[in-house]
Amino acid sequence: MKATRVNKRDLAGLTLEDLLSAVPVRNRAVREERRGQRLVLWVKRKPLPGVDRLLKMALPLRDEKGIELDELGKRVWVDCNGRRTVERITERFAERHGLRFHEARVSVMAFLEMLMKRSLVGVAVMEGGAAESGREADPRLESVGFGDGVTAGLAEGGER
Amino acid sequence: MLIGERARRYAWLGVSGAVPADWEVVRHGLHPERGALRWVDRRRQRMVLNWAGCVSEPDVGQLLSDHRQRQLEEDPDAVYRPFTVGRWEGMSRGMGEDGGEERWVSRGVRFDEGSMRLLEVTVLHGAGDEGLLERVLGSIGETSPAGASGGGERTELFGVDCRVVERGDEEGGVFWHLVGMDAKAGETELRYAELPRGAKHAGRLEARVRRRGLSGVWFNGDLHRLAERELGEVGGELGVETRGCLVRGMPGLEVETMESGLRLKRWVGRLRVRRDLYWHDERDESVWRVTTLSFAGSVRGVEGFEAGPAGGVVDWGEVGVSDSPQKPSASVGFREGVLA
Repeated sequence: MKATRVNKRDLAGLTLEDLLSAVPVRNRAVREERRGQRLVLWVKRKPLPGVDRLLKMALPLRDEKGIELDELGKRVWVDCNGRRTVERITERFAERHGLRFHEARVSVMAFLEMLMKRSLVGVAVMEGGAAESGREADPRLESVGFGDGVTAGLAEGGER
Repeated sequence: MLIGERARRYAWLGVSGAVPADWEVVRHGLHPERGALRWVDRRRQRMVLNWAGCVSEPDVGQLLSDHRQRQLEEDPDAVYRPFTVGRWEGMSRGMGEDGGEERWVSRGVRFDEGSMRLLEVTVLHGAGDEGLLERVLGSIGETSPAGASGGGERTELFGVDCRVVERGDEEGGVFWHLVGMDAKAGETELRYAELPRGAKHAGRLEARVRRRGLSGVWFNGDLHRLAERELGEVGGELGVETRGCLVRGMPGLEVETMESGLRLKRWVGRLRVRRDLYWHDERDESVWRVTTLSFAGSVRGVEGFEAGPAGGVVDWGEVGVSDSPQKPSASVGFREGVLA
């Protein structure tokens, strides 16, 4: 099985199966700094072409930008060890905080997307897995053959 | 024991039952006359429970036959198997293979005389997993009349188990009705309104039951400070009446304040009394808050609700035998064959 790195823009196009079996991998260039209970992740800023050197001469600009993680974020970051899948990370998060898997998944996915946008983690998707099973692009929660039921044609009304 | 062999109970708008422990509810309808609940496993939708109010008993056999006819028009080659589980009648349809496993969608229908509602359960399952269908359908007991909370309506879903404690109809047959539900990660809020029988619009008496999880992360144990902050946000003033209490042995705080508003409204008695009951459940890592907004002198207050974390995972045998006199869980029979 071969792993493919996924661009953050491609994340929305992955199936739920792909997302759950994906493995978040930390950016090796990230520097960690502990501040009490919190953790600050420092990542190199992308230099602005040309003007960067001039700006640096005029302003005390840092070469790095920092992102502070709270207790929840810190545990998820630690769980991203390059071996655990998103599904396993979500399971651990749910177990730790007494959440249901589905609600934990929503939180963990949102957090991982934020880390990806800031180039702190990358996501490796396993090739030959569900990615090639031919499912729709974005079913997230696949609905198979449920369609209109027997009660569909009965009394008028609607979900409040 | 595998998690799929265990169950989790639910109760919603008078319908109660159980589903496999790893299924989670993601959609809910709030209208007692018509709506649906949807469950998913980690990857796909697994079950839909629909209910629809009926003025008289429909011919379930005819409904199923019409439905099958429509399906056959769409796909004449589809394979169907009729089944009966207690008072449930239905049919299963083959959906082809997925990952080497044959998948079936089974649709069971039952009319419930007590609530005058037609119930329909649609389950996605494997070819040899009729036992799952039997357990899910067999767990659905008698339902209470749609929307009537007179008997103490219970809501057990989204991690919350809340029961309305009614004390007769001192106020002329006015009952709490569930009118809203918000479920976010680690946070659930149920909203109730008092609706006199036969009335089209809810009255001005409101109640809210809120559970916030992950308390170990955001809550420092000071309920007084939390109440002060929250009531400040809605314009209330802490200190009208505040007292510490115990809620089932857990530390709690009762607060009584006045709704904010124009002084004129206060003079004519149009401002409501806000009663809040907070408590911290350390075992569940959650902070609970029950709020009622009612007019001075109303007997309805925070004590009208019993709330706590939803029951955990149980064995299917502990789910409870259905109230049905026909004991649905005892009689399941699949008649093999292709309907055409």
